[in-house]
Amino acid sequence: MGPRSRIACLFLPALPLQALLRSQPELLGTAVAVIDAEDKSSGGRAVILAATAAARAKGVHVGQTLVQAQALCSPLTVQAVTEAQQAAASDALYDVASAFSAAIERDQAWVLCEVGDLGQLFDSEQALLTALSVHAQTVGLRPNLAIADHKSVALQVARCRSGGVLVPSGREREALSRLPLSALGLVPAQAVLLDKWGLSTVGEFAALPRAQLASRLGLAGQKLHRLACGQDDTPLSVTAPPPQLHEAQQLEDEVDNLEPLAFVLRGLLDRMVARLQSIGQSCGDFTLRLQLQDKSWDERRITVAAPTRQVSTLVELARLQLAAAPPKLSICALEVQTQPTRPRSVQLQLFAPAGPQPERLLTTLARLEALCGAGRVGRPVVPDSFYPGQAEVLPFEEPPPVPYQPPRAVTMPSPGTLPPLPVAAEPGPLPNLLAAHVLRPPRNATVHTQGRTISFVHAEALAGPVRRCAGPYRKRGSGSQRQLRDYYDVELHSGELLRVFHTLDEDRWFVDARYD
Amino acid sequence: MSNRALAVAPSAAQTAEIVAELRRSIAAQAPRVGSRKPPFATGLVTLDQALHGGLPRGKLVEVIGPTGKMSLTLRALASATRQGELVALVDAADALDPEAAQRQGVDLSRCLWARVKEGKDALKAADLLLGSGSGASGFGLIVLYLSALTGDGRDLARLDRMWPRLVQRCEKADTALLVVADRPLAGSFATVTLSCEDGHGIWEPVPGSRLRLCSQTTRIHVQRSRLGTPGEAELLTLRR
Repeated sequence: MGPRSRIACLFLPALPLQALLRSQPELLGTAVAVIDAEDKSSGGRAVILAATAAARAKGVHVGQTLVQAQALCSPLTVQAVTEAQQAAASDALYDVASAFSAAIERDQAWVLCEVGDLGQLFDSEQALLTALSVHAQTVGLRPNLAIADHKSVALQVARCRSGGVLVPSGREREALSRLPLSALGLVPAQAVLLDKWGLSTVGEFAALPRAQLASRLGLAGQKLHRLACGQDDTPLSVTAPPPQLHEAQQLEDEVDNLEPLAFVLRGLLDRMVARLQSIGQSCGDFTLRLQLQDKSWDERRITVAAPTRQVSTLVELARLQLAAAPPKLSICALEVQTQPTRPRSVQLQLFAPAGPQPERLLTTLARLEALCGAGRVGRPVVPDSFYPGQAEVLPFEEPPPVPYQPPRAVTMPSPGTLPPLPVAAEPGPLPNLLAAHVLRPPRNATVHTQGRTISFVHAEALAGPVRRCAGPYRKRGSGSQRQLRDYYDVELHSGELLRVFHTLDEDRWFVDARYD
Repeated sequence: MSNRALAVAPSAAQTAEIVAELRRSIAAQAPRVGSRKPPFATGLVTLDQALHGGLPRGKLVEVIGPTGKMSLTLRALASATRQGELVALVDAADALDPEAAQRQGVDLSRCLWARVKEGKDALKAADLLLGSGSGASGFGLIVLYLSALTGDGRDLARLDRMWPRLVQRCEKADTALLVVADRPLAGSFATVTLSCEDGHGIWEPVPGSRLRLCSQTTRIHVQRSRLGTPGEAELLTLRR
């Protein structure tokens, strides 16, 4: 027999306020009213979406206009919240639940998750509630929590009772009895009718005979009555996780400077990394979207070589890209999106040289690229070409450590008892090869020839009569470079050894390397 | 326990002998606590002797002169990557031929190539690679290739204040810093200055009364050294 089903509900009361306090936790405890960012331009007529306890204590409530609220409460901090911020808070709540369970049903302000099989991880359900609460606080949320046998019971209790509530099996009706009727999620017509009947709590409604309710309210009434009695066997309707993590921030004033922008971005990435950490993932490449003054969006892809949870590294990478190509206008909002990525795991070796820390290497590479230019820093590779001296650069990734090889074989006193250690392959001597200092781009040259040999070369900083000459060696490139070239080795009277080539198609001469 | 198992089991004395031998072997192979990592041998006997085994870690070595510098650079990179180290080539002249490096034995997957646009940027890049003063940089060898610079590169010697900073950082990071230039730039901040000189090509006749560049010789001379007596020299023949 499997574990009994227990459903935990995490409910976010006043979602707009929670979304705001995630980004500005310093406002907690002060009188704050939240308005919709879309209403910001309507000034005093903007409608209050949520208010803190300090503001509510002075009479501010949801649905008032901003002018009314400010008349009642002074000083009152008014902040605008966007849909994206609320969606991010809602997704963060899902992340909290997904750290505990795979079966999750969600709505914008709540999540329900199956926790019946967590008995082996937590001593008691109270410990589980505490763990859920602590986990939610790490991503900046303060949800109401409830655990019950049925999802509707858990949801109704979490919707109306703050803190954490455990509903023991078989005592659902008792737990619901004192809740207001609004906990049942009544439609307005039902709420008006039940108010006329003089009912105010779920317990009073549950005490009514179900058959008579059915005759007055129909099937909906029967269903409501079952909910009020804590009789609901509807299974969880499992919701897919959001495809990617998304965090947003609306700026009070437009920002046109990198430093304040980096400050705001740090907060945004802090929240994103906290969410990633809560689900055991790291941050890989991410997208930074900046809403400009003219309401257009400036979108940038920030490449992260190795998944990381170091916010400072992510901020530095974004800062370097913004410094290299600043936005054209000042910024009024920013968003960050990323795909959760598995953390990088590397088995280091005891005797192999330790490479640089991945995060530090990443930042160094980004800084180097800012210094040298895009595509000028990386791992050199030999391109597929017959022309000598060609080069390409690929992104640098730290290679795996070289396996340790012991320097010599060990003679065991009793052969056969233990296997002998492997013998290290002695690396051969380094070859003595002539290397060329490649001149990029090749220098235009004026060349005098005598028959098939070169007698004089003149190029920038390289000129003189030729003492010896070898060639031509005809080569054809590959891909787009398919022209024929005749290569020559020449020694000037000054002793310099050069590599010169002649393009047969264009009849031009170049010096492309100096043997060095 | 079966009789067969008893027959092959070593005696207590044999076991003790095996354990003692294993301890001796592991002690011989394992790096000792506090011991320094080996330098990067160039494979040139006289030069390695003069450098006490090769390019020293935590020190700045300067290579100057008209010929053989790129070949010596690639030898140093190959030696370091053979030891499993990551290396960085800060190339102010954009002069690396990856194919030649590969033939010389450089493991290109362990090589970071930074093609800076100006000579002064090369010093900044080296500073970045050596880290922000918080310990090991992770790169065993960093090469600053400043040969054949034009324009601002000629003013590198004016950036005197950078050299003590780089020396201090490479000591802290235990990274070998190799500066390759046409003339001395680091001056007395270099622990060793090697001079590549007297280079000339060796040509051989091929059928058809023509010539082929066969090799180039260069003389590598320890011009100044704080590790030992300067003056050692080695003649190097570089084959095509």
